[in-house]
Amino acid sequence: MNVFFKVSVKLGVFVMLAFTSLAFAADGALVNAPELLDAESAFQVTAKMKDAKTIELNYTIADGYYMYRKRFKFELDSGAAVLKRAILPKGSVKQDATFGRVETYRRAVRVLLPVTVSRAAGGKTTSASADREFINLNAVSQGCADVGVCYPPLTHQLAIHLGSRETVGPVKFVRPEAATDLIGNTLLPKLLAPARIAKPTGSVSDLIRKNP
Amino acid sequence: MTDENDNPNASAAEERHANAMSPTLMVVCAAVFMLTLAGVALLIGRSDTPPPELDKTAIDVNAGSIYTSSFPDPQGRPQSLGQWQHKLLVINFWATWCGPCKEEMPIFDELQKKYAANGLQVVGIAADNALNVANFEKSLPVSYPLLPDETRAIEFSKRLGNRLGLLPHTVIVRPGGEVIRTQLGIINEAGFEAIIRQNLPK
Repeated sequence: MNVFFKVSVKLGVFVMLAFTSLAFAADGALVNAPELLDAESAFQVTAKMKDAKTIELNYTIADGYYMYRKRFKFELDSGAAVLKRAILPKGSVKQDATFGRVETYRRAVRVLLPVTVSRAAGGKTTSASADREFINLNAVSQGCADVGVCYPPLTHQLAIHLGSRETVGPVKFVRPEAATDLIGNTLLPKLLAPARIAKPTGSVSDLIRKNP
Repeated sequence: MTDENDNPNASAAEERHANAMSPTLMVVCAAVFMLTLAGVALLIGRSDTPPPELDKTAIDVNAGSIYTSSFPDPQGRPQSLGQWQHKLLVINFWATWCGPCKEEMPIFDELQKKYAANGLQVVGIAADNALNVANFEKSLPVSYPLLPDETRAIEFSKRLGNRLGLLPHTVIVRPGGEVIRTQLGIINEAGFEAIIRQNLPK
């Protein structure tokens, strides 16, 4: 009994210490905006060919962050393949009185993307050989942090080798305002279709320069 | 006492030992517990105070350029922020795809109604397209202008101290153009209203 008493007192101390440090950690997370992760770290993705007809995308979502099911969008830059509707798993549903049904993902989400390769468009690939075909996928997603802030839509650009089963990470991560950084990318010049380049955004900065 | 020391009964000796130890442990226990309480109290206390401000030194926009900036309304008509330079201007950056943003909009709606006569002007600059914003306005009308600009909203927000371009982001500009507050996340209604009241022109 006495041994148990001593152990339980020590345990109590440990638990309270742990709780105290947790309380302070939570405090920091709640109030410190600089502690928020970059979108790039909060929402990560890899891709691979699951089989010859399906791209598998695996998103990893940082703890305390979530992604909106309705905000995923997938596009190919090259005409070498055609995408069908993405297969997104059920998320957790929150019914909001004002804004209706909102479906979100936490921790991880696997998206399947049926793809049909069109041989006729072989000339658009990065390699002359048909079995070395790459497709350039723009995966658009959007998420938020539990502390009550949302990230603007982000685009992960992935170069997927159709003939391989290897897992690839994004070759480019594009925030909306960084789109112009990709002009002049010589490695994968077809990665960024003209439509993906944000409209000229000079107006605000022009105004600021004009009115110092 | 010496009798007890000589007591061959091991369990009694152990009991005495445990009793001698426990006050020290109890003091440690109490200290840790009080620290914990303090930590929790700090947490609870924080929720009653306005959320943290962003670093104002990160602001890359001066008074003149705030007032010469212009954003279109959902009908596409340019609205210069300069038309509100004599008001206490609250710029709220939001989007229809941002849950927390929509959550706090009724607070801005109320504040606008309550303090319009005292010179408050709330403006909701949306990182969104005009159609989304027009549809949103139909289902949830607010008492202040909503100005959608998908490409320039985040850029302008960043220039007002929002390094990561997150939403919602709210800035308070005193008449004349001085930024007195720039903050991320849902505003604390009471704290925010107190700042508004202190700075109203009328």
